Amino acid sequence: MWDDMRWHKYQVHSFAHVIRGIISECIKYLPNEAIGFLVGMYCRWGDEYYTLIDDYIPVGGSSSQYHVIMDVESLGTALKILEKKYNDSKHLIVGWYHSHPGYGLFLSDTDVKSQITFFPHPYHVALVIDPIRKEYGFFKLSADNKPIKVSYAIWRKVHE
Amino acid sequence: MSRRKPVITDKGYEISLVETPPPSPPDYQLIKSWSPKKYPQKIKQRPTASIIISVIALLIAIFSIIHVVFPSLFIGLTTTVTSTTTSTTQVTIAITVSSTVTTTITSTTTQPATVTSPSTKIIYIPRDLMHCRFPIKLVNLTLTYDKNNENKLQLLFDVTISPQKNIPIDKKNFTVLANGNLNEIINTVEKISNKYRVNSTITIPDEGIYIIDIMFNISENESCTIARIHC
Repeated sequence: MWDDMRWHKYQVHSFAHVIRGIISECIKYLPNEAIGFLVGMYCRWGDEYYTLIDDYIPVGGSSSQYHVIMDVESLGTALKILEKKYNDSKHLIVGWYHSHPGYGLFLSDTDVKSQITFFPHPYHVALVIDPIRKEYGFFKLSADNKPIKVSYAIWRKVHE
Repeated sequence: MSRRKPVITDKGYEISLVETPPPSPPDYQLIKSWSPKKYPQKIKQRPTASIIISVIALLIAIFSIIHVVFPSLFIGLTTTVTSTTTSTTQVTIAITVSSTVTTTITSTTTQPATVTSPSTKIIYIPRDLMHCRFPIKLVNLTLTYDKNNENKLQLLFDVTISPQKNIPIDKKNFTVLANGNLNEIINTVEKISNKYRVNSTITIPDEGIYIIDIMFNISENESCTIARIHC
């Protein structure tokens, strides 16, 4: 229980333009699923650790209404984009996103396996978007690999 | 941008950790946020429950005292309390006896389908959400688990096809997909007045989320999702 609560309280921060862009990508692929990487930083402020997402990389691949597969070529391309765009030690692949068109926010067994295999670090999060119901949520896995929804805040830069 | 050396955390991962505050006002405006509220409430559940019980006990005590002092005032109230208790008991019995849960789905279609499901876990998504434009309507759908094997799920559904096509409709016109894979046993398709009744059996796993799509095949190349069941 305490472990679950700790993960629920883990925070994800992102920006409105990033989320809007990801949702647009998911709508573009309807009725099929869309998938991609979340780019950002693993941050600490005081005793709090959080994931900051400031970009995303869509990944091409074969998809249907029920599944989406990342192909090796797309994965390589995405990593090259990351290297080229952010040549610093701060930016990382901090997770992944994929859409569930019309069937809500959850991590399926396959999603959980993907999270365990490819995104095992504490800063790794999974963003699930339902572009039909217009909902999204961020997930992590608990110590016993159960999907847990984590807190998030979406921000917009105030222009001076 | 300044470069930072990777920091080794106590968990042993080599991670580039950036020490920076999260976005906050006045530089940033909060657009949307979500945080769990249930967990802190769960922890406080015991004191809240105690307070409610104490308040109920106090009210009962006050009413008992007043009832003793002014018995004529509470004749009507006693009757009301008895009646409420009786109706609550009836509801409980109804839930215990009933083995199936019937849900009527309200959707934007002119006539909503009636779905009878053995489990409240099963969610039926009407075809309006499925980007289907073919004039075919699911009238009702009954889901029944096999008594001997709960992994076998029987789907019995009626569909009306409008405008009625002068083509023979048989098993080939219906497909049941489970998580995108062909997992169908279409037992029978029979025509009953203006409806087609389809009987199908599928195998579902013990755990995990399962998505079943009922498809109507218009031709070899064109098909339409009538309904999606999520269990």
